[in-house]
Amino acid sequence: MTTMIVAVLALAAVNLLYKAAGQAILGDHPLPPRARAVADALPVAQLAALLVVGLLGHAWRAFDWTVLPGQAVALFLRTRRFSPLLCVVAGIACTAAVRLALAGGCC
Amino acid sequence: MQGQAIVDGSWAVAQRPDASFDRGAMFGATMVQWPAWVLGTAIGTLTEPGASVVEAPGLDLVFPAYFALLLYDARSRHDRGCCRSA
Repeated sequence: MTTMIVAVLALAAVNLLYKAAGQAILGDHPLPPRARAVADALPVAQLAALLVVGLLGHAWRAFDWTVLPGQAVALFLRTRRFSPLLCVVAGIACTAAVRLALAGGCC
Repeated sequence: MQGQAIVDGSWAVAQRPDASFDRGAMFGATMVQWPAWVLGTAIGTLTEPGASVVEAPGLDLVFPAYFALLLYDARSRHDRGCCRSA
């Protein structure tokens, strides 16, 4: 428990410094155009990486195909402009239904 | 101090269609999320639920689905030519 608390506090401190650094260094000055272009590209790359890591699971060896129908439902609803919250809830419900069906042995 | 309010969901909420940022929306979104995060972490720490509590109802889909939606929205905004950094 102590190790976890120390780790959490250390992470909080790093988080605080990391988030303050940008504004402390730049203030109200805009980013140079090249830096802005890199910053604009980062979110998409990071989201793609987080998505892959999230789907592949622990050590990239824990992929569970039952999340795919839920992902498909969530994305489909988003293309129809439903709210993100509704999309995620619907995706969760779909995945839960698939797992329940598999656990019940009906598929 | 304002930078401390930047978290994924708040940053996404703060983006306006014209690619500018609404700081008030970001601060408000963070203020709603912060107690939920703290409370959820405390509950998880105290109850130590097993993996089945998350996996059976499909809750492990929350982050992958949320990231997928953010990725879709980011690409949609980029295609419309309005993706800019804060």
